[in-house]
Amino acid sequence: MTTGAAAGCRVVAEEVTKTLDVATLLPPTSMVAEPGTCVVVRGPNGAGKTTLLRLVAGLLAPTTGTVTVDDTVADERNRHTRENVAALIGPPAAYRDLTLADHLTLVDATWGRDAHTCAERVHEALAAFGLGDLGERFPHELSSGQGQLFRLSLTWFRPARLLVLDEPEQRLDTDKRAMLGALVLARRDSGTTVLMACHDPVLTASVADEVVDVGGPPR
Amino acid sequence: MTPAEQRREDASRLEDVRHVLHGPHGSGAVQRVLYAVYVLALLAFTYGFTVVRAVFLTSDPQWVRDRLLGPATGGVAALLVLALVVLVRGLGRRRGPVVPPLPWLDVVVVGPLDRAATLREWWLVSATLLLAGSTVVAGVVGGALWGSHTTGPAALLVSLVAGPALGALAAGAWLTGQVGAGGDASGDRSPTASARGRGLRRLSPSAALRRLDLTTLRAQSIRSTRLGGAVLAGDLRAARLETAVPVRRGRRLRLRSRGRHLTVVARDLIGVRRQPGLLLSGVLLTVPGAAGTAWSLSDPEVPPAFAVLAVAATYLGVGVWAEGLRLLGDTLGTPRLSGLSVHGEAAAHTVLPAALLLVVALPVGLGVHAAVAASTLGAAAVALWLVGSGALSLGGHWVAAFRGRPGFLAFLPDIGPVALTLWFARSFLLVAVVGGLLTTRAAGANGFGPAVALLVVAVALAWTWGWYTLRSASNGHRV
Repeated sequence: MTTGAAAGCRVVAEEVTKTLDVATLLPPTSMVAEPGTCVVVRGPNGAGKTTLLRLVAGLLAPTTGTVTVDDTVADERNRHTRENVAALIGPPAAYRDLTLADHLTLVDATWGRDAHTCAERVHEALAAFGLGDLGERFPHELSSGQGQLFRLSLTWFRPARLLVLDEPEQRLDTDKRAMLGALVLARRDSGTTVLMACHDPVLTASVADEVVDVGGPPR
Repeated sequence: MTPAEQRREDASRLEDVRHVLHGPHGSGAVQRVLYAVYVLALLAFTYGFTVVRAVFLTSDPQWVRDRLLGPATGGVAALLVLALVVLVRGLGRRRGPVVPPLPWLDVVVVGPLDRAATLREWWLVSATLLLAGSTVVAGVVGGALWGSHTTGPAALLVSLVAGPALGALAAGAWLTGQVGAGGDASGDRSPTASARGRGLRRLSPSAALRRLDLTTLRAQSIRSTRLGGAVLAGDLRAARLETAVPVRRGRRLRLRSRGRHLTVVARDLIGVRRQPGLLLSGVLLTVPGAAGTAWSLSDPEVPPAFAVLAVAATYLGVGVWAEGLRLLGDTLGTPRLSGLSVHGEAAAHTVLPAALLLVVALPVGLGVHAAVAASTLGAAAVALWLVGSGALSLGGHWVAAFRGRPGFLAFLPDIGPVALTLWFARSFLLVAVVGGLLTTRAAGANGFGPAVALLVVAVALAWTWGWYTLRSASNGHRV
């Protein structure tokens, strides 16, 4: 399965905050994710986990503090950020007229991979997420759990040195969560840095090299 | 209980339900419809009549008379009516004329009352609006023809007969489409259907209302609510998803990797192959658009309004094929999966609509040009113009696809609806008006050269606007 570049990114957030008008979306938070490690962000609903992930993915600008990816300010307008960061933060917009296999083929091609071996990579990637038999389905023909697996497979499939995942375990049954844990560990072991928000203590215990509590320790 | 007693009993119980929901004055739906018709008529006869009359006054009356009374008029009219019926019937499958609110469906329609009685109010509202609207529009056109001395008073009389007839036909097709959405497997549920026999009675609105099934009604009610919200919020992606038919065709077609940009083009092509209706709709709009543009170019006496309509049709036809551009617009602001730059990807998504436009518009346009004996322009000039006006349409589609969300003006209470409408339609209107007027200018004596220069400027402006719109949309979410 395609896992992208070997060496992961180093992510540093220093006293980063995000406010909109009077609403504090993220209180001052600092964290470091070393290359090739998995950092799990925990916290109650509304603590700011997703906001922190969006800041790291460069989708938001911090109000104060800085977020860097390999010493470069995280900003998805920069080619560096886009090339290195794959993120699943909310469902990506799928093409309603493409099958699952077509989606992965399209992503594969836009990254300039070898066209002759594309079909094998696509099949392998779908199979890794338990979607091997569903390659000819359209996204609207999936269950909610299958849809989540499809979104994860898309995020996994593009090359990246940093994976940012917002509650990737949502909608997955126990077996699929265990499968996800194994995939995260495999990706981490291949050198990719993984930063994920997670509400599942079992999954967190199985994959986290470090845990960051946002909005105080868990109650 | 006799059928008459059953009807009275149902009516009485429905009256009770309405009293509980709305009080002694009822829902007021009929009054609101009448008021809407009153406002529509007022606006149509105040502004619509003036504008349409001005269009006829600025056209050559003899030219208009010749076309209206020409041998092809009947055939064209029949084709247009057929297209309208097919279109409206298709619309009914997605959103029919009978769309009550969900609580009414779940509480009242689901009960044992005669379904025709529980749904009649919404049918009457839609049918009345359609009938009144078609009558008013026809009256305005007929009145303007007479008022501009293009024709005699007979035009008004014909319009006032044809308008409501067309409205009634459209209303019937709309309802039939909605009935067809449910498969029409339930048959006539009238309590007296077996006694009366089916035959012609099945064609009555009441019989059609009884054949509407709850699943279709609920689905369309939910869709209608979501669609209304999406339109009011300017969320075009949500609006499109609500109106689009789920794709299930061409499952075994495979997207093959063909290089970074060509695969995106292949993606669009496979999308069209899986939705042949899109291809056909685009052709049905682009063919008359290109024909009208070529005719306007080849015959200087064609009214400017005709050229504007022709360019508008071409714009809409190309837009049907430009699904890829809109899909790219949908992904802006989400983490990138594609390895291409947004501008590179947008350029790749432009290839298919541009190619289809050339393949469809050029032969049609050149054919029409050859058929118009009065033409002073050469075939090369017509081809050049069709390419240029196509480029203008595509530039407009870049603006439309990446326009993001409407500004705050669209949400102000007084000017909001107008601002929202203009926001929706601005690129369409600009392309249609600028393209149409330049086409008329190009057809005039010694007008082709200056018109080409102006068209080049317009194309450059449209593409520049589209380029910056895309850049702005791809960066705008980072706040």
